[in-house]
Amino acid sequence: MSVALIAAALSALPLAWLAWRDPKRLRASGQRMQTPLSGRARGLLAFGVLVPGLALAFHSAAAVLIWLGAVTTLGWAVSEGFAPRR
Amino acid sequence: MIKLSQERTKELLAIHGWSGILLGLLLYAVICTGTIAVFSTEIGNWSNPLDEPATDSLPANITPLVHELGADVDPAHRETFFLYTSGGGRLMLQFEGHLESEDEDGHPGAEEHYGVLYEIDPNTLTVLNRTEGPEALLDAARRTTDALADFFVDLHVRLHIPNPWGLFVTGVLGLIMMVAAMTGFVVHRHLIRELFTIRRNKEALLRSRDAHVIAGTWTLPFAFVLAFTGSFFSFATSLGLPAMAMVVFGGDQERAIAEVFGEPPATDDTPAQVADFDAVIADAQARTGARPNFVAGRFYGRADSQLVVFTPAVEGSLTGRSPVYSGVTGEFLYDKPILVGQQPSAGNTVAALMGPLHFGNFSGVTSKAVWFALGFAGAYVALTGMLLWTNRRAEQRAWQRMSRLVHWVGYGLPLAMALTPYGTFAGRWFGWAIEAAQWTAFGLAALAALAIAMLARSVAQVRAILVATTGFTLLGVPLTRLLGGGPGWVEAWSGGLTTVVAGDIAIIAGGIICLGLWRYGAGTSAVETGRASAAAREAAA
Repeated sequence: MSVALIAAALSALPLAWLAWRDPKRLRASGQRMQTPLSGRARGLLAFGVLVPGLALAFHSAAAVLIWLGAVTTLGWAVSEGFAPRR
Repeated sequence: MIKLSQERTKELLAIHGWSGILLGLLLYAVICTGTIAVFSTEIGNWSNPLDEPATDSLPANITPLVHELGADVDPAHRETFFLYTSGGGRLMLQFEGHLESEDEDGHPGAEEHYGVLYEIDPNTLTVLNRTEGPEALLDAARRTTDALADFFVDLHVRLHIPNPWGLFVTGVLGLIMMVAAMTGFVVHRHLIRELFTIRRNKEALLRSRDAHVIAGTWTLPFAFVLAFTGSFFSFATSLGLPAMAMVVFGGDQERAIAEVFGEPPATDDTPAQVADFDAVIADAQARTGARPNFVAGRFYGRADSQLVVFTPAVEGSLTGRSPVYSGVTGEFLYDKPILVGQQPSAGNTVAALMGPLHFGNFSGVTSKAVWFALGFAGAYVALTGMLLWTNRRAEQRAWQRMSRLVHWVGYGLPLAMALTPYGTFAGRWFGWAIEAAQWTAFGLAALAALAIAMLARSVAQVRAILVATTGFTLLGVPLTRLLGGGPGWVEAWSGGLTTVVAGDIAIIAGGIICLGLWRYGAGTSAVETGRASAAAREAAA
């Protein structure tokens, strides 16, 4: 079921970008130098996260489930990874 | 993001917190052990391998052996029979019937299950072990083969509490988890906006709150699915079936079972030949596209004998199939729905999805790895939720004690689980009863963790000691496996026992991560710092 993992990896890229330039995260971590993403850009990136999963729907339900589970845990991991140091 | 009044939010938050804190420790134990139990097959193959690797599917050319062993069993004990694989890929052949006991006056007493269990090497097709006796003895023999995996699975399924009470408890815990997930979803006002916000640079309470909320938000859909399906499995047979029998069938459970799982064929106890198992298995493989891994039959050697052959899900599917064959001629009869009824139905489709959604076993190690990660996230959410709840009340003495209790279970349970394989391997090496040895190791670790939780200066120290000890314990597991008579890495690798090497590497990685968390990731909770400002508490609420 490597196709699901490849799709999850593809989703992880826009997901990481979303997290990196997330306005609330930047504000909370005091990173004023970084420009936050606009609402439109965030919408596009969120769609980019979902596209591989939508494409997998044509492959199999099992692949979609694996992709969804992988993306949700990756989302958590990305959030932890971008959290500011103490 | 549901808009709620402040009062309603407070009420829901109270439900969320209290439901979590009251049974959260047990729920955490169920989630932790469930996370490990995802890999139960691999744990069995790692902890008790054969000299040569074997697949989890049924081997070929088994018919002569099955016929020979079946003929050796008293026909009275051949009402049902099962053929399946266990730890290390061992082939298990089990026959069961009823034994009518007599009371002191020679009158017929209660019936009990009695049978024979054969443990077979799938590579050489030689019998490794034969056990004959009542059901409890067969269970014990079966559990010895897959002792370590069974220990974790039983802890997950029923917390080792006797049936049906254990299933009731875990069923209720599943419901509690659903309540916590739903109320957590409703009270969290900035679900999307805060999806990436973890304020690790702020006060301890905010850190705890963010850690809990962000992990919970990301894994919310699966938390709900895992809780729902877990509750379903706990309640389906312990409560659902008896309740349905009472309401619909006037308490007649046999009729209810016949209706739900399919009517048994007309009784015909005329002795008859036994089907060619290899031909049946080959036909099932050709029909379904997957090699069968389980055969269940009834009335072995009789004219009314039937075989249900279970196959795993093929690539891309979530569920397997279960064709039915004549146990006499081996002729294909019909495709049986996996769980409910005799013909395809929406009810069966939904019920059949419960298994793959809960176990994550529909696509080999890939789906299991994802389900492991989801389980880990669930355990993290449960633990951080309880720590948050106790930290917010850290100034009250009772909650300080509760915090120590949470630290004991939260960090002591992984230690106890890490020490359990020491019992398995010591039991095997010294010839002790393996289950008792596992309980001893698990219990000693739990007691040691309790002593640490009670005596340590602060909860931070409890956490540090337990995490470090878990790390060192995990690092020692592969060595203990080796000392317990298991194969070394070179021997395992050259013999094709890759699960053994992969298991050792995963455990060592777990140990290193624990030591890293101990060294670099020590969290400072509000309990010992006493720096929980009112503003932080308010924000965390």
